[in-house]
Amino acid sequence: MLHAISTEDLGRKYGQRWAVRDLDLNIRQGEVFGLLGPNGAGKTTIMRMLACLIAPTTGRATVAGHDIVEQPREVRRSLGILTESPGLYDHLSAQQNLAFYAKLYDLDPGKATHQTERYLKLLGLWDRRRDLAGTFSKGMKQKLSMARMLLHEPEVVILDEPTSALDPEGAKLVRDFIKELKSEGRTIILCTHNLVEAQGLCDRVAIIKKTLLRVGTPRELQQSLYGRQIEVHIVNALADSGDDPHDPGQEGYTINDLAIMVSSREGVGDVTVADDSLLVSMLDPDDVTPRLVRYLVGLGADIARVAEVEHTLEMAYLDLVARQELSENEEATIAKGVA
Amino acid sequence: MSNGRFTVNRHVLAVIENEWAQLIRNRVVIVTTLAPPLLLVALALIVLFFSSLIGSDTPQVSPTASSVLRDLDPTQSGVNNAEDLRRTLLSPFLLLFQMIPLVVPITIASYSIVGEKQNRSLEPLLSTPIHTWELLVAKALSAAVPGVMATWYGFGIFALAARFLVSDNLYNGLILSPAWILTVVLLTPLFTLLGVSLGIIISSRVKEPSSAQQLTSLVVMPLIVVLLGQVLGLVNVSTGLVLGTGLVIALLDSALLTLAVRLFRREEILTMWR
Repeated sequence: MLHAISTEDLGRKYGQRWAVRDLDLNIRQGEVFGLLGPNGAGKTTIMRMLACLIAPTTGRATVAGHDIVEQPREVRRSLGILTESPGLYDHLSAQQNLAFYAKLYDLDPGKATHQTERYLKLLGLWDRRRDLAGTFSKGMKQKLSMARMLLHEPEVVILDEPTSALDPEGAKLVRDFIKELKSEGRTIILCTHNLVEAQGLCDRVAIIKKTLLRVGTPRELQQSLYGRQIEVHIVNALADSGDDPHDPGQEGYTINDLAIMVSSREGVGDVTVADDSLLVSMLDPDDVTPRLVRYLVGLGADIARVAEVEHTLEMAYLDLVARQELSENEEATIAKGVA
Repeated sequence: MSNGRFTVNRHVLAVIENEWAQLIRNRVVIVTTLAPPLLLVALALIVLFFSSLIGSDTPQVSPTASSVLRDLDPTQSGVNNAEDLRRTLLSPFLLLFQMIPLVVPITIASYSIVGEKQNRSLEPLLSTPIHTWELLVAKALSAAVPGVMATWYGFGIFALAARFLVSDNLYNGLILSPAWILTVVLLTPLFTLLGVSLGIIISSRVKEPSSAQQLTSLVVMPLIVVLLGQVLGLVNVSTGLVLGTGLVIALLDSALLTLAVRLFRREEILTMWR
């Protein structure tokens, strides 16, 4: 498998504070890779190191096969970057903005004209090409920045919060464009806080908080945290009276009784109760679910619905970040105790 | 990639072109660049016009000024008092022709880096393959050239108009003297480049445009001292002095631009400035 980006023990310190440390990542060619993390997690620092804007304190990284320390100019030629703010020249027209960057990327005049026209048309800005960038809406500025990022046809593109300042329509346009870039085979790194967007666009995501917490497909992340969970909705469970679940004088079972009994079955992990439903964790739902349903029916349960629970990436993200914070707090408490 | 020289030239030219395209749309900068040299020309011509009304029986100018004038051009020791007075009145304009193009270019230079940062265009710019020195040289030239050109243009008008207002002796001996021509052609751009290099260093070290402008206003101070020296007869303008000064300033320009590149901390600018 070819890697468009590879980092090894990559770290960056500002003064005495680590912004990022021990980062080992391999991003495959042609994949959309999400960098997720709370504010201050180090996403922008990673992005800047990969774009050779700042140097790493430790470790190494390659972008499109070029070392970020040894070959910064080659890296910059292989990389397109969309910063959080468009950073356009407001007193220049859309065409002048792009013409300037085409020269900085050493495109010959013919290719520069062709590329400018191509991307302005592709992004729906051709009719406004002579208008000053300062007169553009936020969405149009973002599109112009994307055109600027792609002029030199980079293999790898980094998008920092590409939809954060946009209205829903603008955000959708940008997301559609990202899908188009992916279809062209480019490697895309998406730094975002928008987890729904990341789940919809990214092949894999990394959750970062100064270091790499977890990496995988959104589904892998969800499953690694929660396993697979089946929701069984029971309509005739008794109201909970706190009685012994095996009391022979009682007709039927409460939902809590059923939870206790189900949790002892083979292949079943944790069982939790949510209203009239049992949330049953298991490794192999295809094998366990039919047996579980037969068992519950045998106990007299009327089952209205059985479905696999889909955990969102957002849940996984929040859980991982919360665990990391808890772990950091515990470490700090221990350190204080030792001191 | 094309050969190195082609690439270097294209980057520098691209930044200059970009800067000028923005300057052209800024009327305040255009007016403040063009107006001072033209005002200076107008002022010099008014002085010349009124001095042409002075008769040859005018009392002698101060001994210091007279001595300065004779030091300037020993062949002119026989000129009359009215001619002495015209020379005395015109001499400070030479240094003004050096000073005037400094003010606006330094202001432009002082905004060059901090302005890009404020506009949030520095990060995309630095993520291109441009070298730091290419960026800074281009910024320096784009700030310096308009001011210098405006001054040359102004001096040309002044030299043409003066032909009709002063005697051949004064015209050839002072206004078209090698010292004056060399000063305007050589020292003006070199001084301007010195000023803008300092402006760029300041611009890449401060966090706000207002701080940059306040600091760069200090850069003009030493040149005012030189001008005062000229008026008081402490500094004499001769061809040798102009060439010597030109050499020193050229070396200082190179040193300052090199220093500017070394002091340009892109990491600090990107990560510490808000």
